[in-house]
Amino acid sequence: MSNKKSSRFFGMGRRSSHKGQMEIMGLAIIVILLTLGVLWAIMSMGDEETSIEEEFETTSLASSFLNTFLGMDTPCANSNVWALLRDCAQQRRITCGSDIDPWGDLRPPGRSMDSCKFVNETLSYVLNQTLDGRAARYMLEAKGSNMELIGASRECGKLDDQVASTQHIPAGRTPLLIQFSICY
Amino acid sequence: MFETIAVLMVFFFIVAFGLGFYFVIAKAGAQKALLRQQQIEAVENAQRLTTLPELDCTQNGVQTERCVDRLKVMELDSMLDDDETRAYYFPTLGYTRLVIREVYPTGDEWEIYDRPRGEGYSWTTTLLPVKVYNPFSDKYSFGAIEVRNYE
Repeated sequence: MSNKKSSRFFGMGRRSSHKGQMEIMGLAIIVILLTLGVLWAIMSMGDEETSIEEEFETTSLASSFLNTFLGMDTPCANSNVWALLRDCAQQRRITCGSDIDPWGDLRPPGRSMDSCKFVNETLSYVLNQTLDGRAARYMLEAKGSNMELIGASRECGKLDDQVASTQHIPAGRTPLLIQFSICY
Repeated sequence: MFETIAVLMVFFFIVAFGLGFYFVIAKAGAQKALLRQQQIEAVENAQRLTTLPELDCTQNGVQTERCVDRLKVMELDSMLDDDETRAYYFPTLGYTRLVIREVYPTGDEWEIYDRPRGEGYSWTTTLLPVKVYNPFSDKYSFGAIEVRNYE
């Protein structure tokens, strides 16, 4: 009699523990599915792609700005920026007359400037008229024999992510290195 | 019986939640794809404009990269004042605004073309620095093409 009771008791126990295991399994599957769904959502939301337009503009801006700037003609000694920078890195023979400066103001007589200063002024004017209005972050520097000849920077540090365009101008023993970077 | 109904209810709740979630994500994906398409169009427009034969600088049949001819710009500007010519250029230029500026030394500006989609549309502007060639003086100046793409 007692054996019969205990076997029935143990049988019920086995059935209920089996059912409990199934329920736990179901719960575990639901939790796993929900976790996967939430993970997928977080991953797809956090995956911010760089806009194609922004990428195109950044890369083309860096190269075309530098090429256009170096190739443009100036009223100073009938030379382009390329020639002026070359002079700036070497003897600095070119003197830009006391005519109108890039900002449209008449420069006081006798206040002529050398090629380095003229290029620097022209550069800041061009940057002000183009990139500053678009809140672009950039850095331009021209270095010749470890000395910075001209430079301009706007909210852009050396550690920031950047797209850079580089040009070399032959100037004596050490070529002049000009680098223009757009930060993003 | 009650247990089965409860399990089914939980199951359908999870399925409904999953479907709703999927549709939200799919909608966001479709919007992203549309934005991407618009961006590709904007880039295509900007690239097409810099190589338009109506604007480019050519010397002995060789095209100078990223350069516009000042005389051609002035001519196209006056040509596009005519409605018929503007309609002719619509398949090429689309819903855009094209402005060419000679930044240094003169500061001259030409609004070549402007065709907005209508009220309430947004736009993005792409700036491309270009050389502006003056064939009279044989000089290059610093210029910029601004392409506003109506989206």
